[in-house]
Amino acid sequence: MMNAAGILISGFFDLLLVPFRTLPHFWGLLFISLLSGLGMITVFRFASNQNKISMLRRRMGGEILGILLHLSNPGTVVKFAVKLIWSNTVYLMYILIPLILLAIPFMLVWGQLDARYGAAEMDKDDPVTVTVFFEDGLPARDNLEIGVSGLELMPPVLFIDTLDEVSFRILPDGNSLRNLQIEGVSVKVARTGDWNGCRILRGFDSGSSFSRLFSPWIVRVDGGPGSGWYSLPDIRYAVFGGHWSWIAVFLLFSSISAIAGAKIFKVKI
Amino acid sequence: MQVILGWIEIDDTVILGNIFSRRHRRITIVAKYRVTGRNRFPFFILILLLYTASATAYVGPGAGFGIVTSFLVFLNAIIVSLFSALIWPVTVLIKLQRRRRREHRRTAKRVVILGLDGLSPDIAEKMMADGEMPVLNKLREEGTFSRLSTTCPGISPVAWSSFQTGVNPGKHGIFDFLAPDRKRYLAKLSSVQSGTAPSRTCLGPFRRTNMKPFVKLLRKSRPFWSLLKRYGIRSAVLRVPITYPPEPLDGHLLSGMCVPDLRGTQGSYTIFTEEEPQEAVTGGIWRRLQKQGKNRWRAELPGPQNIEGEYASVTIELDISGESAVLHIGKEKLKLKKGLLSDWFELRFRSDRRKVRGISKFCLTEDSIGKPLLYSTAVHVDPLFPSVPISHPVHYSKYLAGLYGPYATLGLAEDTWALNNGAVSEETFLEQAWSIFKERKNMFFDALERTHDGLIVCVFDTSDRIQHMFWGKGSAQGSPINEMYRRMDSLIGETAEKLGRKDMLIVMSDHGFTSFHTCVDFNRWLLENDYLFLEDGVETVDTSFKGVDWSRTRAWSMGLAGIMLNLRGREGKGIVEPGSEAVSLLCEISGKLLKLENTNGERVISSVYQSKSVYTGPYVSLGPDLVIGTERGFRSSWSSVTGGIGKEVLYRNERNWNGDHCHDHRLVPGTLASNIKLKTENATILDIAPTVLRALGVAAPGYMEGKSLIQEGAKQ
Repeated sequence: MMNAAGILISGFFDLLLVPFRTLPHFWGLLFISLLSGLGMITVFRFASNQNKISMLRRRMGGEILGILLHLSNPGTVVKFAVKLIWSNTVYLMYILIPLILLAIPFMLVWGQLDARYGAAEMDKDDPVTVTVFFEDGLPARDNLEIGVSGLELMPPVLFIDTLDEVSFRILPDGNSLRNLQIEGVSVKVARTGDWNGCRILRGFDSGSSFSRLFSPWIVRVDGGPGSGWYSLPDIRYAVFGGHWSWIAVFLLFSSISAIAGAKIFKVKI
Repeated sequence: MQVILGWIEIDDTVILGNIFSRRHRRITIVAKYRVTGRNRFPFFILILLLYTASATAYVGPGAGFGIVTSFLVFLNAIIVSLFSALIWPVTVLIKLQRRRRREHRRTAKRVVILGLDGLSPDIAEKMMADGEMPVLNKLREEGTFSRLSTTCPGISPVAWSSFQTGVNPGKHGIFDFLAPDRKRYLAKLSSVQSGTAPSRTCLGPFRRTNMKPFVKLLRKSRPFWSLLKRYGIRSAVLRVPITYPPEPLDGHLLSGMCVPDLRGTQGSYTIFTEEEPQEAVTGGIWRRLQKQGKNRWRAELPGPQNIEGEYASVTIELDISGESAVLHIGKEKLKLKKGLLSDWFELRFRSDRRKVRGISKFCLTEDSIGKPLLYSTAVHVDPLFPSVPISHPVHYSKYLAGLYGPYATLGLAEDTWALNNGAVSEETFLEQAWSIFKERKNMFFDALERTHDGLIVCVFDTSDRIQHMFWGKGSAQGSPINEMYRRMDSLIGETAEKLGRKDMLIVMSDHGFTSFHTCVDFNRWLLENDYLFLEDGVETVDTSFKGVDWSRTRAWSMGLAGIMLNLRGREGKGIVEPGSEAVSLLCEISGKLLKLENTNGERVISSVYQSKSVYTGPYVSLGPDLVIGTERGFRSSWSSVTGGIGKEVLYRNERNWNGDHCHDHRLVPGTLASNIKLKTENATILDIAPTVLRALGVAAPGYMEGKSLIQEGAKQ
C-alpha cells in the first residue's frame, strides 16, 4: 500500500516536471517551489481560524506598540511583554492545526525535492561506495553474489563482521540503466530516469513502512539482504553545487509565492 | 551532522527509527512506546511534529511564517524589556531634574479629569436627591459638587477650548462650531482648516511641485497639558473636543470633536433604498439599492473624494434571507440581523492612487412599504491605518485599536442626523451611543491603568448626544436620559475605585442642557427688520445667503449665536462704516432683539452681548459682533445657522433633536464635582486649567484668566 502510494506520488512529481526535462534543474525546482507556496497558503487559509488569527495579530500589534509607548516605564513594559508572550503562545496554538495538516504534504514535497535536487546523478568514472546491511547476518565470503549492469565493480569487497555490513565500490560505465544484483536481487542505482529533476536513488531497502512515502530516494526491493546505501560523490550536487542548496531556493520561492498568495487572497498568517 | 530520519512503523509495540549519517552509520532508536487505541492520536501528532522538526523547522508558508514571526515577537519582547530596564535610571533622572522646576508643592500625584459633555447640574441634583446618583452624591458630601459657569456661548467647541487653554474665546479664537468666511459670506469649520497646498520636491536638477493635503488646527493659545512636559509630567488626553489635528505633548492624545470622516465631513451617513427618498437627506447621502435577483441587491458605498471631487466607492452586495442578511464587500462578508447594528467593518477605498481605509457599521431595516433599507454610519477613519493624523504619537490610535478593537474616530460619532431623519430607530441610535461609550471607557481605563502619575483627561460625549435627542422624553425613571445619568454615575464610581489616595478626580461638564422647542430664524428677523435684503424675486434662502442683496444688507447671522455687521473693509461687500455707525447699529439691533416675543408673549432673547464687552484678546475680531443668548426652549433655527432664510422668525422645532444648550450661557451652566474640596464660588470652566496645574505643582502662566480652585493649605 505504502509502496503504491509512493509510486503514485513520485509519478505525480515526475509529471509536474515534464515541461522542465530539458532545462536546468533550477527551473523545475522553482516551479515546484512556487506551486508549493501557493498550495500551502491555501491549505493554511482553510485550515486556520482566520478571524482569531487576525484578532490575535491585531492584539499583538497593540501590545508591541504598548511596549514602545511606555518605554520609560519598565513595569508597564514588562506587563506588556508578558501579555505579548502569552498572546504569542495562543497564536501558536491557533496555527497548530494547520501546521499538523500541512506537515504531511510538506514532508512529501520535501522528500521528493530532496530526492531530485539534493544530489546529482553519478557520472561516468565517479567511484561510488555501496554499503549493504544484511539483516540475517553476513553470508559466507565465498557465497556472496554481487552482479552489476551498466556499472563496473571495483574490488575489494569488504566484510564488516561487527556491523553485518559489506562494502564495495562501483564505477558507472556510461550506461543509463544501472543495476546491482546482490544475493539474486536486482537493485536500481542512482537514477530512475534520464532527465533533469528525476529521482536520484541513494539507497535500497526491503522493508515496507509509512516512512517510505517521505524518503523517495530509497528504492524498495523484494527480498535480498535487507538494506543498503550509496555514497554519491560529494563534489557535485543538482542545484548550485551544494546538497542543501535546493532548500534555499525552495524556501525563497515558496515564501515569495505564499506571501503573494496571502496578499492576493487576503490570508492572515 | 546531516540527519535523515528513517522509517518508522506504527505497530502495537515498538517504534524504532534508523538514523543514517553521512558516514553511513545507522543508529537504532531505542525508545519504545506502546501504542494502543487510546493514545494512538497523540502519538501520531508527536511523530508528525518530530518529522516536522527534522525539516529544519520550516513547516511551510503560513504556519512557517507564524513560527518564525512568533520567535521574533518573543525576542522583541525580551530585548525591549531589557532596553527599557536599562534606560529607566536615565529617564528617572531626567524626570527628577524636570520636576525640580515645579513652582509649588503638588497636591495630587495624579489628576484625573472625567469630562461628561453636557451633564446638567439640574438633573444631577434632582437625581441625587432621589438617590439615583449615589456616587455623585458621595462626592458632594465628601468633596465638591457645584455648578460650573460655561463660556459665552455655552457651545462645546467654545467651552472645551476654554477648558484646555484657560482663556476666553477672544484668546483662543473659537466662537462657535462654524466661523464666517466674511469675504464670501460662507460658513466654515471654526477649529480646523484643511485643503491642499503646493509642495516642492527637489532632487538635484529635477524639481517637481505636487499638491499635498494639509490640515491645521485653528484654535489659538496652548492647552495646559502641553505645559506639563517641561515639568516631567506625562499626560493622557482622550477625545477632548478641538484637539484635531493632534498637537505634540509628553504623553498620548487621541483627538475628539472635529475629526472628520473619510468624506471630509463632520459625519455623513449613507442610506440605501430601492426608491429615492422624497425629501433630501440632510446630514447624509442616499444611494440606490439595485435589485440583482429575488433576494439580492447591489449598491455603491461612497468613500473619500478625490481631487476632482468624485467619490471613491466600494461595491456592496446584500443577500437577505428572512430576518438575517449577508453583506458582501469585496471578498469580505458581514452578517447582519434585521434591526441590529453590526460590528465595525473595514472598508478599503482607492482615491487618487492611494489606498484609504475606513470603518463603518451597518443596520438593515425595512422602509414603510416593506422594502430593504440599509443604513451605514459615516465612514470613520480606521484607527489602525489612519489616513489623517488622529493621535499623538501616530501609533497611539493603533495601539488602542490593537488592544480593544476598532473604535469610533469621528468627532461627532453618534449619528444624530440619522435619527433626526428617521434613517435609524431610537433603539439603534441608543445602541450606537452606548457602544461608543463602551469603547471610550476601555480607552479611559487603559489610560488609568498605565498612567501612574500625571494627568488623564477623557471626555465622554454620550451624555450630550442622548440629551440632544431624548430631551422631550424627560428624565423620569425609565427614560433614556435617566438611564444615561445612572450609567454616568456608575462610570464615576468605577473611576473612583481605580484611584489612589493621592489622586485627584475632577468630574466636569462643559455646559448643561435645556429644551429646544422653538426655532428662531435670526436672518428672517433681520430681513423683517430691514437689516437684511433679498434680491428681487427671492423670498427664502436654503443656505449660504444665496440671493441676498449685499449692497443693502447691514447685518447677517451665521452660526448658533452670532450676528455680524456687513462692515465695510471687513466683509466682502460691506456697507456699514466702522465706528459710530457700526456701534449705533449694534445697539439698535440689540435693543430690538431683546424685545422679541412669541405669540404667547414669552420673551425669546434673554441677553445680547457686544463681543467686545464679553471677549478680550487678539482674536476678538474673528468672532461675531453680537452674541445672542436665547431663553430656554428657543434656539437659532436649523437653516439660519448655515446662512438660510426661512418663512417665519419663530416656528416649532419638529426634529428629534429637542434638547440643547446653545442658549443664554447663564441658563446652561456645567457641572463640577471632585473628590477633594474646592473653592467653588463663581467657578468657571476657565478655572479648570489653573486648578489642574496647581494640583500638579505648576504655576499657571500669566495669560490664563482662570483661578485655581484649590484651597490654600490643601495637603496631598
